[in-house]
Amino acid sequence: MRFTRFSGCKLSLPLLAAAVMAATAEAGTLFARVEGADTMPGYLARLLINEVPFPGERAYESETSTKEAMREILWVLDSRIHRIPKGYTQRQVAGVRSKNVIDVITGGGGRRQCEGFYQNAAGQFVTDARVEERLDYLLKIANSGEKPGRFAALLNHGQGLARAYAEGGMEGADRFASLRRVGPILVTGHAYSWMTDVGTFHPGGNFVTIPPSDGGALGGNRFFTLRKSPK
Amino acid sequence: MNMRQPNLFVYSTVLAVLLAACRTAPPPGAASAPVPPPELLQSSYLFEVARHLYRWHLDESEVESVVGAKRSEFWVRGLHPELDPGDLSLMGEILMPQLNLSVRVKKADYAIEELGATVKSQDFKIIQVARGHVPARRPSSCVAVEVDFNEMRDYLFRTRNQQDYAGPALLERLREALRKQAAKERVVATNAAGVEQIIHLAPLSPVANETWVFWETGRKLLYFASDIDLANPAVWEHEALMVRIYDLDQQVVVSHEEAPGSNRFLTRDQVGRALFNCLVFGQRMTVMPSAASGSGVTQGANR
Repeated sequence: MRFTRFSGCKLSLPLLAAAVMAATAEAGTLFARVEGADTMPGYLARLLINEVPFPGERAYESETSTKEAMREILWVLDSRIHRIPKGYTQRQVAGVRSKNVIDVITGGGGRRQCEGFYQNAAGQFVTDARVEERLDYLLKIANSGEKPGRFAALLNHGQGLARAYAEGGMEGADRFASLRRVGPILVTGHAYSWMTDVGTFHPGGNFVTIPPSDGGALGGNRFFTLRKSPK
Repeated sequence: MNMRQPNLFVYSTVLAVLLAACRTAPPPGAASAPVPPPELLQSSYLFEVARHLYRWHLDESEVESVVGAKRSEFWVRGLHPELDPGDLSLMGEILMPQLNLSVRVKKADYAIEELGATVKSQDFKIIQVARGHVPARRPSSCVAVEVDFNEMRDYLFRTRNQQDYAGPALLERLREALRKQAAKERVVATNAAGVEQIIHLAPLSPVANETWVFWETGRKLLYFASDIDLANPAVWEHEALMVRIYDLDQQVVVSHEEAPGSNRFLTRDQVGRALFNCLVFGQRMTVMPSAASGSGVTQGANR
């Protein structure tokens, strides 16, 4: 029997072949994966995934709509860093002063910006247990069955967006960039906040609801722009 | 158990009369506009939508703003967003110009291949309520439905205390969900294992797949919502996908102005409305953390 050395282990070739095949089969069933919460792309992906509806959840419309909602949430975060409108400070819009997207997600001064995402007493960026619980459940669904479906596509989209953002910033178009008026109110364009579209919630301050006719109700969320002239 | 059942005939009769009072008008100059799903044009359905808004969204000033009107007007249209392949769901929108409110509704009908489950609603359910975006003129895509305002006002007044309770099966699923949650949170309110938990379940709406639960001992509000009918056992197999939890000690502000841009908080008014419906109209339940322990239900116990 011939042996070959592989990572410090002695394996027979037939055994190695079987191991490789088994590994391939296992990898073949892993249709979706999300990086660890202790990495920037993993933490950001958790937010994008947490904030949008999957099939069966309230306000699910379509795979396309959920993907667009993830992208617009990412645009909100990026705009809170790089597109603070004239007349506003970043702290007024984002609740923090930082160029770091993780800071923008978690907020500061006890005023968390995104429910379930925060900095703990040790200064670590963490998520609520239920965020991980839902993510685990979604991954379990996505990685079941014989072929990747919508759950896998949506999870991979969220992770892909987060990774791309970490590597190169925003790509593509912000659908709210050119918005200049909501009814009689002059606005800045871009979205600066979103809320789960339950009831008639409003984030307060100078935020202006982007109406459904302008695509402001997207993927189970309501998006908000800012008044051109702060109150 | 549905406490409304003894009165269903009465309500059906009343609504049949109201239906006769209902008038529809085609959109001006829009003969080719798609006709909304007929269910959305029935006054019985529109009255239920109005009752849902009356209970969960409208405030005093909004009700006062329409007093004196002779007719209540609804502008109704079908919506046709691009859905996933094979998704046969129907969607529509109901605009209420006198209140400047718009309501989006959905009748789900699609499969989730990964779960081997079908998401199919029997009726249109509210998925979104928005304020302030109703155009001044009726869009050409909308059909106008007019109802007698006094009839609707009387209906809302008559049914303002009506309680649509969850059936025993749904109650048991809610109880189980609460047990799990209490275990996860280590029963923080009592800091003692095995202590009886008290919860209050708000009345259900026949036009929404959502409900609020006040977990008194946990000092939390739980919001259950789904595309699947809550009464469908399938929805409770996936409860991780349908609950949001608000900590009343941490997540309540008087105004969102206090934390602009954050999606974390409820206002005191929002919480007050949820608590009113849970405590005054709701079902009070006791839940023992252990599934083997007993539990009880009292309906409208706090009235």
